[in-house]
Amino acid sequence: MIEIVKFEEVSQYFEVLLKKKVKSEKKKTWSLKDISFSLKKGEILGIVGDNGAGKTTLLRLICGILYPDKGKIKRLVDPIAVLELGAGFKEELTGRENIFLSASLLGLSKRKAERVYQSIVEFAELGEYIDAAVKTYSQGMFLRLAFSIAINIESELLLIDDVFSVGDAGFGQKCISKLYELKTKGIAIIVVSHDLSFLRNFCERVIFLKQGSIVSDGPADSVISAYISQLGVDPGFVISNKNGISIRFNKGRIFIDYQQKPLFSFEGAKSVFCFNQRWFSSIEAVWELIQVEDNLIYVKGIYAEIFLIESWKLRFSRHGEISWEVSFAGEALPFLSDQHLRFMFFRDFERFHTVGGSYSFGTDFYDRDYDILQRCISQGSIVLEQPKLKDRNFEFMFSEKLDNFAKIFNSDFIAKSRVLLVYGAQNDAGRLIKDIKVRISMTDKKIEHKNECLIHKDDLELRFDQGRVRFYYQGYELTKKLSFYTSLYFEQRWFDSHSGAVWQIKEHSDSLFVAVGRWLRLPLKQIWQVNIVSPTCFSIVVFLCPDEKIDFQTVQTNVMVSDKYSNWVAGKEQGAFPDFNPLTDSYWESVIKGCFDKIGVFTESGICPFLVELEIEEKIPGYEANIVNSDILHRARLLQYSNDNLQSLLPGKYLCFSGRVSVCKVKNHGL
Amino acid sequence: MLVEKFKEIYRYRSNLWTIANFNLKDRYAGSLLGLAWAVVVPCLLMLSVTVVFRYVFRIEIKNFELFVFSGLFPWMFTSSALFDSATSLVSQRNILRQFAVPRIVVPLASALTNFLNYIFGFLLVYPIFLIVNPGIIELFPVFTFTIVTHFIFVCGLGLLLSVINAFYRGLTHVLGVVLIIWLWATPVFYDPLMVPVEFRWVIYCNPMNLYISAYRDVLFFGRLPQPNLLAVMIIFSFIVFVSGLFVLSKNERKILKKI
Repeated sequence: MIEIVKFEEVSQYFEVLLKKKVKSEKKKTWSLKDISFSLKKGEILGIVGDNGAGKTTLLRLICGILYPDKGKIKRLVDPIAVLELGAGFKEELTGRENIFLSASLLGLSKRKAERVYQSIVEFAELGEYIDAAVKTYSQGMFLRLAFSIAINIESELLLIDDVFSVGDAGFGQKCISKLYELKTKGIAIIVVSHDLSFLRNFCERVIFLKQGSIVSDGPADSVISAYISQLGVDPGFVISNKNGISIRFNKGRIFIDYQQKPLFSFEGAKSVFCFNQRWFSSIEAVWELIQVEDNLIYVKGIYAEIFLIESWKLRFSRHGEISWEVSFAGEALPFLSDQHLRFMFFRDFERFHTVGGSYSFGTDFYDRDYDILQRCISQGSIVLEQPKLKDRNFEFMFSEKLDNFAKIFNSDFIAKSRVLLVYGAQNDAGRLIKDIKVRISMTDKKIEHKNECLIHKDDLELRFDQGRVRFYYQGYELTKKLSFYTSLYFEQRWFDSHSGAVWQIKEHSDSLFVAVGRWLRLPLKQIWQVNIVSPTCFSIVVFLCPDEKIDFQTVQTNVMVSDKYSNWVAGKEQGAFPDFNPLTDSYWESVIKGCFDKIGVFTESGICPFLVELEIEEKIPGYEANIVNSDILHRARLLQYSNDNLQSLLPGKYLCFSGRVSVCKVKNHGL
Repeated sequence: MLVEKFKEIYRYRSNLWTIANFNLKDRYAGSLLGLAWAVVVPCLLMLSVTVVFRYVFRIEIKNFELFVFSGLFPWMFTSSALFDSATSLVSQRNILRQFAVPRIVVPLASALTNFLNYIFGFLLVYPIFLIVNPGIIELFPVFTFTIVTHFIFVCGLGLLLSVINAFYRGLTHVLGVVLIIWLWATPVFYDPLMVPVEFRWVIYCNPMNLYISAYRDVLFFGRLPQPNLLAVMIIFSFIVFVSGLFVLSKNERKILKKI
């Protein structure tokens, strides 16, 4: 890719006359020091930095408005810039006349000026005011005119200084979409802005300028996080450890770098709680450093409005582990609830592993932080994995004696990050019983894929993975998401086989396996026996073995399939699935229920030309077959065998499902 | 380096024209007479001067009005062009901070603006000279030559002054006075022969005298100026112009930070 601009150790100074009473002083300030970078054709670059960091000077140098005092600048194109609003316009002349004047000052030929003139007028949308003297314009109108001129004069490099604050939302949107359009056309753009979310989405690369030097030059996400992390009057504290981990605390936020690469995106890690139905975060408190030593940061934050003091202790323990303890004190303490720590990770972390299984974050970022991937009730750890970098796996460990639990999900599309919330041990009312304590470590432990197994016969393949079985036939995956799993509803909570239990394979051969899962929070286990009977059919037997007396409400065995299956069949009845209920929050609807021998799903359109059928081999009293349509978030169909009536089970071994799943190709509408 | 400057000027030639036109529009925006002021102002000044010199100072030159006019018009152009060019880099700093305009363009555009103003006015007034002395029409080419060399001289000096003004802002104030004194040192209101011999060297050292004499010859006296004079005019103009370019290119970078 051609370099269109190249800076080699460019420096620029200004002499400012300080007028004082006795003697005026001429001060030489270096506004830019040893700047080296290059810009490629079509590259989109953002520049961030505090006021006075040298951003506008840099833009002027790129444009050729200033010459460098030291160093060399190579420029292959004529850039056009929107720097100060209104500069370059002659006040008495009209908007129209100023368009031509600007074109002349830029050295455009008359022919070119006339060619772009019409599009400039149209884009600016000034209406009849284009013929009014520019001295009558408001700031917003200046922006429209200046921006319109810059955009429509076809230059290979466009420079935009921080001018967006004066535009109204409508025009701002228009400008931004035009910028995106220019981006696709291959025009290189440099944007200086304080709107960090815009920069993250628009720019591939960002340069962080501080007091005239380039502090950071790299991908947008990491540079912007580095910028955020050092905002504020106090630079925050850094402690570093031999293992290359460094913590920065800044005004109620924590940033952790591993080998100089930041781990947290956006706002770093903070603590959040609810008081009086209002959410507070640690950023709102006023923080004070109590103790800072080689391997300890001890800070206290005071929330002015409520009587609450929050203390954090950040410690380096052995082997490059960090522990973070959060405790609260004060009159408001009994009234707090839902205290948690909020971590935001870069989207580079693609997978995470818990005791219950391995999951992928996926690429869906909704417009709210809502897509909860995992609600983990865990002891042990959560490991976030970056498949591309093996030495940057993140492990969160919860103390064995405390009952932390965590939520993991994807953020909204503005932040585009992974969010991990870690809650402290709570009582029934949601109040914190003990201090929150987590341990964080970088690990290059190879992520072991525990306890998976695979059985197959001809075209049929079954994969068991931590409490879930996926069915494949002729290469197609028949199941979806949760696939084959079991669920228990107990004390108003669901306990699923894939997230609430730890599994082990007891027996395994080519065509059968036996898995035993021990539930983490309940004193029970389940035994699954899966056996391939023929190339299109396999049997599953599920036993429930409680160790103590348990009062269940519901026991279920489920097969989850994709919503491509548009029709269902149950016994002799059949029908089409209705549309998904737009209400979310797991509003799952039962389509039909009864003592059927066989239930199945199929589709008429032939996208997935198989019929999946669940046949109950042994009818168990109290259990019914069920076909369920999931909610709009999951977008799936469920074949279910369940018992919804209250049961009290004594210790023993109970059969909850014995049946066959078969697959056959659909020839025509009928079965 | 100088060659580059000439190239720049050439590249910007039509743009200079456009910019100068816009400057003129800007100058007269909102005024009642607009460009007509280019004629009215000199006429008014000429009339007032004539009245005072003829009736108070009892100066005895036939057709004193035209005598004054032939020198005053060029002089007014000179002083306003020099003043505008000198201050141009500073007053137009906004443009220089926004666009990557070659520095040359700014003072030249100012000079050109005044030149256009001047030409417009002078051409309207020329017929008056013709009425009095129809023979001068033959001298029109020489008249054109005079105007052009005069303009080149003014451009060059303007460039020089613009650079000086960027470093020493006080020049603006000094220039005002200097121009007035210079006016007296130039034979605009009088003929050089009226000056006592001891002081005539001042006149002859004054470069403006070259041009004013040429103007006088072609407009008032209706005679061809001496070839020496014409040769000196053009050589001198070019020297000044090239010096102006040179000084500007040497100091361009520093100027950008000074303004």
